[in-house]
Amino acid sequence: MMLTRLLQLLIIAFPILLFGWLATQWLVPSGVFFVSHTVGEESPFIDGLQPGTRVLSSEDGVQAIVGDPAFFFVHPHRDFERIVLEVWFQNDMVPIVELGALTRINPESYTLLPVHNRLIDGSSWNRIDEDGIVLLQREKKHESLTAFFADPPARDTVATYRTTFDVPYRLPDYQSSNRIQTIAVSLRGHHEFKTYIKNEILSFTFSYMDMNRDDGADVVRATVFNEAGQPVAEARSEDDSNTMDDSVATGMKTLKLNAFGLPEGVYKVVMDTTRDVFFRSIETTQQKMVFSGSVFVGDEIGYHATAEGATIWTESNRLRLQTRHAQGVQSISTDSTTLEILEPYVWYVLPLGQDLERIEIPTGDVEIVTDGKIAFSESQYFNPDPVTLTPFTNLEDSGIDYVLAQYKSPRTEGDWLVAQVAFDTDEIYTEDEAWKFSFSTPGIEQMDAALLIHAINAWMYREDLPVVSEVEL
Amino acid sequence: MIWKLKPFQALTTLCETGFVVSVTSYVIFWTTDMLVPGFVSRYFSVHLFLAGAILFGLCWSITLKEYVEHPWLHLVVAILLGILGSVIVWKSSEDMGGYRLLITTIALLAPSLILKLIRD
Repeated sequence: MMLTRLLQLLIIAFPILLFGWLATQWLVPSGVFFVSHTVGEESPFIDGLQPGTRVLSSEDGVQAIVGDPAFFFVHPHRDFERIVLEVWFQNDMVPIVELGALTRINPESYTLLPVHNRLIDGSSWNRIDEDGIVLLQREKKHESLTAFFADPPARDTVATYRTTFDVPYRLPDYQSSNRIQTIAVSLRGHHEFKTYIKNEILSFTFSYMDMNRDDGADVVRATVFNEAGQPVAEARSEDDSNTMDDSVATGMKTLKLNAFGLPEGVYKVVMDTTRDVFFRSIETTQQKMVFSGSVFVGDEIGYHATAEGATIWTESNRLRLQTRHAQGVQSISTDSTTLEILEPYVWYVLPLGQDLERIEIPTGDVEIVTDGKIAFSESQYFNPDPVTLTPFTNLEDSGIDYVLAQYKSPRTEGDWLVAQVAFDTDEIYTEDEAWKFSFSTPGIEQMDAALLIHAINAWMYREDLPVVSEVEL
Repeated sequence: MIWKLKPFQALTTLCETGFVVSVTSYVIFWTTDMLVPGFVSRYFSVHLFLAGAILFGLCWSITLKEYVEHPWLHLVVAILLGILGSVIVWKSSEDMGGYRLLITTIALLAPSLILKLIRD
C-alpha cells in the first residue's frame, strides 16, 4: 500500500516539477539565461549557419564559413536587455573577422564588433592593452595610453579600428564661399556624408521623388551631427500620403536643411529615409562633401528618359559594386581600368590605387560599398577621418606609425580561439521574435580561406536585473 | 488468490492516477504552450502527455474489473472540452470569414455529439 502511494506521489509530482522547471526557464529568475550550441546540433534558441552557398556542411562539431557574409538567427524566448555571444573558432587567414547584429532593414544595417583581428594580433609592433583599447606603435614612443593621448601624434600617422582618435580635423587654408554647388545625381534611400563648416551657414537643399515602389510611409529626415556625435540640426518631410507599392511617383519635392552659428569643424549629415525615396539633386554652399559607407546611385526610371549615371572620386583602395536589375549591367571605368558588371545580384570588386581616382558609372542603378570616402566632384573630396584599419591595410607600407583599436584579442582554449561580443538588444532589429547575427569576413573568397566555427554560445541578460558580470568582456 | 488480486488492484490504481495526471497535464501544458508559445515546445513535444494518457488509459481499462458510470461527469467534461475547442478554433480562424462562426459552433458541440453517439 505504501509503495502504491509512493508511486502515485511520483506520478503526480513529475509534471508539477516539470512545469516548475519550464517556468524557471521562462522567467529566468537568476537574470541570466545561457545557451550552449555546438554547430551541427539542433537548438531551439540558435539556428545553424546560413546560407548553404557560403558555409560547408558541419562535420564533427566544426563548420567552415567560406563566403562573406554568413549569418544565423537567435530565438530569444522572452525579453532580454543584453546578449553576449561567444564564438569558438579557428582562423588562419582572414585578416578581420567581425560579428554583427542586424539593427535595421531597408537597407540592412549591422552593428559590427570585432571577433578576430589578425592585423593587430599578428603585428610585431609594440603593443599596449588598456581597458579594451589596443595601441600599436611602430617604434615605442609612449609608455601608456594616457601618455599617447597627452601627446598625440599627427592624425595621418594613426590608423583606427572600431574607435575614434579625438584629435579634431582642421583645414587651415579653408575659405568659405557663397557659391552654390549642385550634385545632380540620383541617390536612392539612406545615405550619410560629411561636410566642413568654417564661418558659414550649413545649407543643403535636397530635391527628391517618392517613387512608391514598396509598401509603407516614406518619411525623409536629414539630421546634422557635430564632432561629438550630438545632433545639432534637423529637417523633416512627411510621406506623400501614398503608402502603397503602386509605383506612382510624386513630383519633385524639396527638403531644406539649414544650421546657423556652427563652430568650425566636420559635421555628419544623415539622410534617413527608405528605398522608395530618390534624391535627384543636392544644392549646397559647402565646399567639402564626402559620402561614407555606401552610396546607391539609383535608376532614373520615371525621371530621365536616358539614365545619366554618375561620376565619383575616391581614395579608397577598393570598391564593391552590385546592381539588382538587368538594366544596371554596365561597364564601370576608371582612368586605368574597366570593370564589367555582367549580371544582377553579384558583388564585383574594383581594385584601385592609393591616389584620388575618378570613376565613371554610365547608367546608375548601382550600390557602391567602400571603407573610404566618395565625392561627386574632385574639389569636394576630403577625408576628415583617421585612416581606418581594413582587411586590406598593409601596416608596414601604409605610412602610419600607430594603430588605435577598441579590441580584445580572443583567448585560447585548446585548439580553439574564443571571442565574446556583447550587444544591447534594444538596438537589434527583431522579426518573428528572432535576432539576426552575421559574420563579416571580407576577402575570404578571394583568399580561398575558411573560418572554422566550433560553437556559438549565448548569455542573455534580463532587462530588470543588474547586468551580471559573470562573463568578463 | 488474494496474493494475485492485491498487486492487480495496485496496478489499476497506478494506471488510473497516471491517466488522470497525463490528461490533466496534457490540457495544462498544451494550454500554456498556446498562451505562451514555446513554453513547452522548445524543450519537448506536449503530445508526450497524450501518449502517456493512451498508455495509462489502456492499462487502466485492461486491469479494471468493474466500474461505475458517471454520466453527469461525462457531460461536464464534454462541455468543457467543447468550450476549450471552440476557443481554440475561434482564435485560430480569423481568415475563415463567414465560416468562422460555423466551425466554432461545430467545435463547441462536437464533444457532446460524440458522447451521445458513444452512449447510443
